[in-house]
Amino acid sequence: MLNCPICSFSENPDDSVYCTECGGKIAEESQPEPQVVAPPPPAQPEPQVVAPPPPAQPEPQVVAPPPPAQPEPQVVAPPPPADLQNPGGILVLPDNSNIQVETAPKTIGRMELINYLKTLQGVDPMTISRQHFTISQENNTYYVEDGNTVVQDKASSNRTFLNGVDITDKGQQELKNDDVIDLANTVKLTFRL
Amino acid sequence: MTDFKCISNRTHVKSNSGSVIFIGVDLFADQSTILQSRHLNICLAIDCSGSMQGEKIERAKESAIILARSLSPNDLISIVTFEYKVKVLLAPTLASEQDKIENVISSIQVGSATSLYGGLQKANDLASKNAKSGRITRIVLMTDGIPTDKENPKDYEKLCAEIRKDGITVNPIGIGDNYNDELLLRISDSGGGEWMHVTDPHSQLPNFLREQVTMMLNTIAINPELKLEFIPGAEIIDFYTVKPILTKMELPQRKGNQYVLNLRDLVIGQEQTIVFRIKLPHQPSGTYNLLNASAIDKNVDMSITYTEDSTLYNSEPNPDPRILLFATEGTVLMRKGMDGDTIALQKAETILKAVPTDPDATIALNPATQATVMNLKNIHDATVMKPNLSEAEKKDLMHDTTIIRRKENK
Repeated sequence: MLNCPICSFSENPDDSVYCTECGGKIAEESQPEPQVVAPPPPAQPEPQVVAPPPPAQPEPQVVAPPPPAQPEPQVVAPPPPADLQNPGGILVLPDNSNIQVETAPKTIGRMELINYLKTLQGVDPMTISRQHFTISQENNTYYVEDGNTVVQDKASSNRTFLNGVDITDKGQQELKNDDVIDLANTVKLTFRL
Repeated sequence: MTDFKCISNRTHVKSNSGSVIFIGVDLFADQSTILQSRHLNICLAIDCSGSMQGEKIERAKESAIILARSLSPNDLISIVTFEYKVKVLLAPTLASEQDKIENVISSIQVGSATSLYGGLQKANDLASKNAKSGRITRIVLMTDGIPTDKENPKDYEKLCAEIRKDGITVNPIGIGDNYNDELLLRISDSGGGEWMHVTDPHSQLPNFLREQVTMMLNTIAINPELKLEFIPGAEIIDFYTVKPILTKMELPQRKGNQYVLNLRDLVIGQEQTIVFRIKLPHQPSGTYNLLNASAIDKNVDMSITYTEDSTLYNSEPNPDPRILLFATEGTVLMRKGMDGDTIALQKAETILKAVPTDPDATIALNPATQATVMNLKNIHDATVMKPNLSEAEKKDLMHDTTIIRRKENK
């Protein structure tokens, strides 16, 4: 009998994958987990002039041995050139984690930064507004504006600074590569195109 | 065009055994939906208690005028104010009488106490007079405090359910930090509307009121029903609406194998997502009609296969409805946890552990489910990080986890 980790129901038959009481997942399905794709090789493998001789035809065996681990024929595509990698730009946090701006307009606030905020000593996360600033894009130019301007016009509680200049209530400001957005004098984000 | 979809997480279950499956239902009317133009009938119920004095009441008045100006000449508007006394300030009046309406609104003054129940009752008296003439009717309630006449949410639920039967929606707007969010949420649930939380009356109130008019104009079905006819012996264990409001629903009455649920008004561009947890009866191997679901003018049939083959009954072609339900249940529990219910908080944490929150794992889920999972994670992080949330923070969080991002109007 299997215990359900969610509702604690204890009378699930041994082969159950789903709890018969709450429907939650008790166990992984028997099929193997898809293998996590290995990180790409550090450099392009130099073309080998002499290919290793293919293994000779194996002598017929009753039970075929598992095929030798083939060197992965480049499953992972090489990383795209840098300028295509982040079509929407990224915001780099002080701990070098980053937030993708894959779609503009995008509003950034406490929740997007929560993991970083948690690591700061003596900083009240509530200093950062839920929707602290908004990044928008027009004709390939990016703009930053304090507060949430997508759904409603609502300023942040503790202001936004662009390269040290207070932009609260100043409307959209052009945003360039390496510009620093400072939220409430608490978190500095660097914008990278 | 209206789009009606039903998806279950599993297509096969074990023969002669009890199983629980999840079914997600999605109803959406896009911009191409043909809209019959109908006149509106809106009743404003405005809290005029002493605490509304100053900025709040001035913004409420200003927004009421903006709303009145956005109506068409043949639309009706009426206004009730409530403090200790409940007053009919404006009986249903054609919006063409703009001067009269604006004079009445300008004359609003504050008193003391908050007779919210009385105000709602009176608003219903005014609104219901013209609700049956085919007008799209809505009561918009603005309050900033705790009622002083009736406090029990059950009284309000009963009243709002009565109001809803006439096809009227009740949309409560809470201003500031001192009102009872739980009460407003229950008013909006039973009244078929949406609870709005206003922190900045200056910028938000006019927008919310304008939005009410837009939503009324885009309404294509009032009080629509969702009919679900299941395989005999199946029952709904629980169900939740996820969009436009994330909340747990009361189980509807079952007639034979059929459940009839009242949905929110169907508004163009506003998706309605509901998710059910279903207990299936024991059946011998074979394929059965699982469900016939119908809403508006659409109909969907689903089947289920009972089998002895464990690779089939242990597989889950679409985990989406299961994860959606658990994430929603977790969010509802977490909200109770914020109010101090530690058992609910524990249950929510257990659920959170079982729900994949890793972006790679959630990438296969549909966007509404991903948003709901994120929602649960956010409310959990914020609650656990700040065990003593201020009233303002709590209301913000409650609101953010109740109104799931709307599908953008394209």
